[in-house]
Amino acid sequence: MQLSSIGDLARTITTQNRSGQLRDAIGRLTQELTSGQVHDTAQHLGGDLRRLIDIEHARTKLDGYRVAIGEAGGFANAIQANLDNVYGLTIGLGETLVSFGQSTAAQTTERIRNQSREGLDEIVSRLNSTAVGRSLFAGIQTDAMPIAAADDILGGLRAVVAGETTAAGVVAAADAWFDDPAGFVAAFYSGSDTDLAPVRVGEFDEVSLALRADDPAFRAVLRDFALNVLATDGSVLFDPGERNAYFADASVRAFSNASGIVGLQADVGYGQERLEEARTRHEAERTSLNILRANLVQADPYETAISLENAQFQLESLYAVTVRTSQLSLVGFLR
Amino acid sequence: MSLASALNSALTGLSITARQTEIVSNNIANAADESYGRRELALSSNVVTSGVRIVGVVRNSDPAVLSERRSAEAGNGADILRAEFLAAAERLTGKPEDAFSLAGRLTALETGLVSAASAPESGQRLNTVATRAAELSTALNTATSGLNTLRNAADRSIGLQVDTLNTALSRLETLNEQIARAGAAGEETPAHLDQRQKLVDQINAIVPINIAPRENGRIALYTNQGTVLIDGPAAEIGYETTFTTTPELTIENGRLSGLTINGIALRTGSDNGALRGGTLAAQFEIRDELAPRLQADLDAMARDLIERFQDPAVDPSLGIGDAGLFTDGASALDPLAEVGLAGRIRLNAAVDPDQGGQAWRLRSGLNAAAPGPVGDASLLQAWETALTARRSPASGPFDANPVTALDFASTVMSQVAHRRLTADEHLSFSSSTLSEIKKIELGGGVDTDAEIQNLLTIETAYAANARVIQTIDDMMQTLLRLG
Repeated sequence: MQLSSIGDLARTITTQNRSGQLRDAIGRLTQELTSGQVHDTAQHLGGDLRRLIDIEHARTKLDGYRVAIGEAGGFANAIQANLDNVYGLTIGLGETLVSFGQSTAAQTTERIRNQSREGLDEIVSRLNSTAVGRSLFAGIQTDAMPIAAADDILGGLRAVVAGETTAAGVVAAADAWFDDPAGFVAAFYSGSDTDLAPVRVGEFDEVSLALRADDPAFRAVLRDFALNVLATDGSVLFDPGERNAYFADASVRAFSNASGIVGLQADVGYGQERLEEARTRHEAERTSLNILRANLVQADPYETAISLENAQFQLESLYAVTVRTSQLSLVGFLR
Repeated sequence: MSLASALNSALTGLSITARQTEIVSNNIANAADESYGRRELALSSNVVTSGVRIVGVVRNSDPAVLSERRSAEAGNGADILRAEFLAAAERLTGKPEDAFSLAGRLTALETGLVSAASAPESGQRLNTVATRAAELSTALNTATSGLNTLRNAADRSIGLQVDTLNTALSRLETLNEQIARAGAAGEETPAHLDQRQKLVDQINAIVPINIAPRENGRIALYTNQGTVLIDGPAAEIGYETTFTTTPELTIENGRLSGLTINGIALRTGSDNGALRGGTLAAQFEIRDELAPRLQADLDAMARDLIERFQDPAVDPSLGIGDAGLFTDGASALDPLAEVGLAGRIRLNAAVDPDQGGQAWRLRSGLNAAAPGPVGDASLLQAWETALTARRSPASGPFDANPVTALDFASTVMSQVAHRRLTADEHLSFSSSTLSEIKKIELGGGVDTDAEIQNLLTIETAYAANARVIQTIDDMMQTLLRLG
């Protein structure tokens, strides 16, 4: 290689390459500055994308879980409200039954009959209620009304206890029929036998809100409300002595049914608590995932701005130098 | 007598300056041509009669730098092709922040299943699940067809390069003869040499070559692996372009063409190819190694997806061998037909409203005759569990470790990104190497300032010689005027 002369093209190739590199750098840095993210995440992460993908996956799924938690929460709240109501009716009837021996039998009987009848109607309609179009107590058959009309239940029970004459016999027959899967449940429960699936509220978290209208606690309430109607409207227990014996027992059973409902409420309450826990936990998780993600792909705005200014300055200097050297030609100095 | 010889010398000086000016103007005219070799006039003093004589026109070229530049250029060309292919492959599989990436589509499907399980009665949510499942299978289809397009392009490029190579070799044969004949006749042929350098550069970009000089200025070309491309007669490279490439067509099963030289088959692998190192070998590598490897990963992912859902333990309405949520075309998975599966995977028509199916089958079972209880979330939850469960895949880039569906997608995407980064690094290294070598090579090219300086010298020489002639003429006149 001759040192006394250097070809023209050699001079230009350096400036061309350098200006190309600088313009690329400026484009990339501008994009990083405006978007806040590094331009080439794969390069920034050294080619291992799995961590970032996992974070994105977890963030997106949290949105899905948020929907599930919200809907399950609404469902649980509706169930709880209905249980409150059933509990109130049961306790109310229990108190009325307690006062049976203390005042005129006829008036109390009247009161018991009305309260039982209206209570039965309301309990049936509560058990048939829905939230957002889904039946609360019908298992997976959420488009069905699980409990038949009160009149039908009364008719069925009337047929079952028709032959009994003693209070104990009537109660035993009613118990047997309500407990028999081929009895009350087969005839008057039209929900599913399968519980609702537990709600998925997290990767490994499930909350169960399974409560069907044929739960023993509900059956006990329906049974005793129906029996009270029958005992007071003259369908059974014509003997006053038997009737007194029946009512003496009925208040105890009413209170025990009420505590059965309380048990259900406790279960649902536990589910509600777990949903709330999951919701708070997800909020925290979302925040920490956002932070992790930012750590992985964020472009530090300060550094980016400084690099951008440097690159711009270098490009301007390059342009100035190019202009000057192009004017340094012998041709310009001849004559 | 001495005056006459002085006159003769001056005359030779004058005619030399004419030749020199011609050389200078030729150099300046070709200053922008990279393969132009700077000309110089070689002079020596005339021993027999006084004066100066031309020995010849010297074409400046440095064979060592030239050969280094050629090999850097060939490597750089190949690196560019590989980096471009891998960047395109990365666009096909998607980046982590893209919702349309393989992992993004999978996550959307999982999230859709969670929402649908929360309200299984909702037809809209079931339709959303069907849509997202279809989008996942479409993502695999699109990646496959993108890879096919890239393979097609590689195939066609090989065909074009082979044509270019054959044309260049036959022109080189002709040029060799012309140079040899001119050399034997004692003529200088710098223009032919420029043309030959261009042809060799063209051939070198396709297949890096070494030059072996032969008699009378001819050259022979052979590759780094010893295959002779031209030595006297030019070799003929044979290749057949396939008009559409699909994953089932490979060079191993003979359905894609390899190379022949004068009818004899050549190896084309990236580790043992006979014509490797340049853009031709890079296109073969893309067509036969890089693209099929990615296709195999995609096919393994498709198979894993199909198998996860084709399990009667997940969907009790399926019998053994029935097609599951994802199908191969319109039927169940055939374990022997995994090649190209990513291009054929579809959402089962039974659940796809766009294909006349019913989305409630996502809730009640693929083979269900009628919609079951509307609040039943168990199958939807089972679908989601099927995706997040760890199972050992039957094929793919894992060592039979149990992985989730997301692990599969993220590993495929990571591997593509990693390969792309490696290719980018090679490219940046080979680019800067090439740039440095080129600078050295071009440093020996035409320097306009030096030529102008020469021109000034020539001008002075011309004036001086003319003055000498004038003086001699005066002297002779003086002599003749005597007496």
